[in-house]
Amino acid sequence: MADNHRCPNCGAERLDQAPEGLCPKCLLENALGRQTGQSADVTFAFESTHAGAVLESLARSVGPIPRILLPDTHPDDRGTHVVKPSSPEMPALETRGDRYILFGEIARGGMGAILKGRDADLGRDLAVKVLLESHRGKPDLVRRFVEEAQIGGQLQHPGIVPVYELGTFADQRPFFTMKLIKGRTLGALLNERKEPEEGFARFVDIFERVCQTVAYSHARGVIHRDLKPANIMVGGFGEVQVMDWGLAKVLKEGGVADEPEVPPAGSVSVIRTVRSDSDGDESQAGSVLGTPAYMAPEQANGDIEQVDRRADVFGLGSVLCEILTGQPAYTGKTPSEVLRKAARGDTAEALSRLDACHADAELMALAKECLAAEADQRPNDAGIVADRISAYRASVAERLRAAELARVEAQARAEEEVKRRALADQLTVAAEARVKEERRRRKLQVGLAASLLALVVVGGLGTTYFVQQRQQRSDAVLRALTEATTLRDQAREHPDDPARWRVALGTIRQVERVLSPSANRDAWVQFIRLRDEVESETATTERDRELLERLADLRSSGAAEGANYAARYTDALRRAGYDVEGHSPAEVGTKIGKRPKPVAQFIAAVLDEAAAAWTTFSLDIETARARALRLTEVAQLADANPWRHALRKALVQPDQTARLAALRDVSNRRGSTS
Amino acid sequence: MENSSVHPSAGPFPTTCWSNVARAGDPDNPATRDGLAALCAAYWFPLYCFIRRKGHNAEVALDLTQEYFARFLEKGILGSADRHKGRFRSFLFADCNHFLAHYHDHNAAQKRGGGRTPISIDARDAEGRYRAEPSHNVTAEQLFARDWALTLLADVLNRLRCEYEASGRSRIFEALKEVLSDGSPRAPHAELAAAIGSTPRAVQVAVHRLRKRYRELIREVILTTVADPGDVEAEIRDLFVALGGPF
Repeated sequence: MADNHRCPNCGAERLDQAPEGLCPKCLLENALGRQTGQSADVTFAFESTHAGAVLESLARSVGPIPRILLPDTHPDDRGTHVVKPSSPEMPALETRGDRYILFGEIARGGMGAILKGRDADLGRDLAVKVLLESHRGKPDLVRRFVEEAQIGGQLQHPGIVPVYELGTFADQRPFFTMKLIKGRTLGALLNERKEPEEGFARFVDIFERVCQTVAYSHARGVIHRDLKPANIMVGGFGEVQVMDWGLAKVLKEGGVADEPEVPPAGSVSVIRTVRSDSDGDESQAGSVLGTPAYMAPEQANGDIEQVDRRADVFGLGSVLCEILTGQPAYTGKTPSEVLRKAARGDTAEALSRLDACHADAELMALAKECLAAEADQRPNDAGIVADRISAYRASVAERLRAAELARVEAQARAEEEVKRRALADQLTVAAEARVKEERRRRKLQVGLAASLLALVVVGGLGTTYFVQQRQQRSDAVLRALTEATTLRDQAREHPDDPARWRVALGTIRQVERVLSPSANRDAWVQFIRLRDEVESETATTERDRELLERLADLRSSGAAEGANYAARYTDALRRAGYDVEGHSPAEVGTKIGKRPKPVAQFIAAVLDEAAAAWTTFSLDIETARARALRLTEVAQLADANPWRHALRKALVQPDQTARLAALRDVSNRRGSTS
Repeated sequence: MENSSVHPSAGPFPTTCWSNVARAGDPDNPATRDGLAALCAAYWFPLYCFIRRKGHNAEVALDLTQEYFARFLEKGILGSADRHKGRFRSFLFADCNHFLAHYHDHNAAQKRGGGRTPISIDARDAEGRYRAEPSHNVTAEQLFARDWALTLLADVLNRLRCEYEASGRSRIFEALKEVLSDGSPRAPHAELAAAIGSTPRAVQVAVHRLRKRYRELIREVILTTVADPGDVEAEIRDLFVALGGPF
């Protein structure tokens, strides 16, 4: 045996519980196949016709054929329970044909019974509608039955149960197979409600889809004539289907009976059945078909010629009335009372019920229009009703959207107000903090970082209510900002002390690590700006310090080196970013002038010395002079002191007499000013 | 699998036909009652599996199976005029479905009368066999039909084996039983003949007889479960289809 898990004969999987270890399938097949003692050829012929035969015969030629049976995941198959396992409507086995296995009866109507069946070859469950045994051989009923199948077969819409096949059993009864609809009827769903408001939106949605389905059938020239919640099936996945087209009538092409009407759409074909082609309706004038509680007056009066799309519109109106008020258009203690009311078109009670219900005015108005006793007062066909319902639902959606928008806006405004107040509070706190800091500024330095950290951490941990928490974090940011600003100001006051900048920068960096930008964005941004500023100023101060140290070294060590000494000065300045000879004097001078005063003055002093050195020691008078002039110009811009200004001016006088006079003048001025 | 475990309800297979029971329908008639009891005893397992699949645990399922049969035997099939026709299998499925649907209403009563054991069920065997069942994505009805087919085949083969044993031909049955499922014996007749100490010609005859008896027996047994003798072939076909799923 090649495969111990499969039957070598039929390929079916072996079962643990197989009787005597034999393949049960083959056992049954053998029980069938040779029982009659027929020859192999006859056996084959038999097998080719019994249920599942197509697959079996294929299996003979190509080996095991899969039988796919998808899991039945439908959440609700209450609509398909077999109520009579052995329905009298099930044809005797020998007359049944071989393709369908029948399980029993699901439902029964006046004309036919719905059986639950399965297409053995496709493994598909389906509904089989069969003409009642009692109607077998009645030509008019057989004809009507076939028409129902034809109408169902040609109306192809998601809202209409598809018909698969029309056939006859060997006992001459016609049957047709349809999709097996699983779900519950709208009637059952409506009855489950405790009050009409329950699940309202869902029912309006279902109703819209029913209207669209009926609109489609109207467009194809078919009227249903028995619209009611019991004929509307709602599936577990939200699918809505209009069922039982047994009373459907095909309108003669061209429109309704009593007035000319433009055909709905040029492209839509009108369904043809024997009936619509034959002269007149098979339904006897005066006979009443349908369900009185949902029936238009003309239909209840048996006025067959007058029944058109607007009768369905009335039916839709009655369904809508039931959705809105819990009851259809007509109610009464006895069926005959209901029929009498229907014949009179007595909707007074329904209209007052509609007036009393809490539904939106548009829906009430639509229901009332549909329930008009006079057909020409109603919307012309289901398409119009569908459009009205769609428009209503769109307007509801729009209203909801607008309300939501308004709510969100109000909320945003409230939040904005809260924020504004919080900011005002923060500013007050900051101002107070600044005052305190002013007092403390001298003793600040070392403990600052720790205290700030503590503030932030305590602020972050100590509160539960998030607004408070945010507020506190925000305060902490502001406080940190104030502290840092103070430190920066102090550092600026001591430009010759880079240590102060370093303290300020260290503090800022520590605070930065524990602050959250979400607490107070603006303050955070300010804080970051401040940090960058302090960072860059610290760097510059550091550079200045190095420069000053270098210049001081040069000054003390190389006074005797003359022009060479001047060149070293300018070289040191260039390395510190003040390229006295490369850039324009104005540029470098302004740049130096922006440095803290002591720094600028020191550099200016060095420049003055260098200028003096050039003029004193250089052999090339003209070049030295030009250089000295340039350095003096820079020094003038770097150092704004008026007396030194005048002194420099005097020193660069080309004429010696004039220079001496100017120097004397400057010397006098100094004596008078200082 | 041992035969004894396959057949906890050992004993002759019911000879009462479902058609007779259905026709008589009177629960007070001892003959009807015994007939029903025998049928129930033969087919308790598919029903038990069905109840288990409805989500009841082993213990509850056993109780429910007993409870169902107790009620069924008490009330018979009176009051269900529509059910008089058809097959016992379909009837049992629908009727038990109905019973389970209304089980909660009668829960208290079930507890009160919990000791009723109208038919003999080997509880351990039930669960053992149930657990051996593969789990499927097919419907309860399909599984029920499948279990039914397996129970029925096991019964038929058991009867066949008993007959061969009774006449001292158990070796022949053992050697030849595979022909019941295969179209032809897997080993050549000569080989089989050697195995049972006979001639190839005798083997050919024995195979023919075994098949013939098997077909007779399966029809006898199915006949007890259908109202109309004409339904036997269709029942075999339906059971065949039930087994044809992706098991």
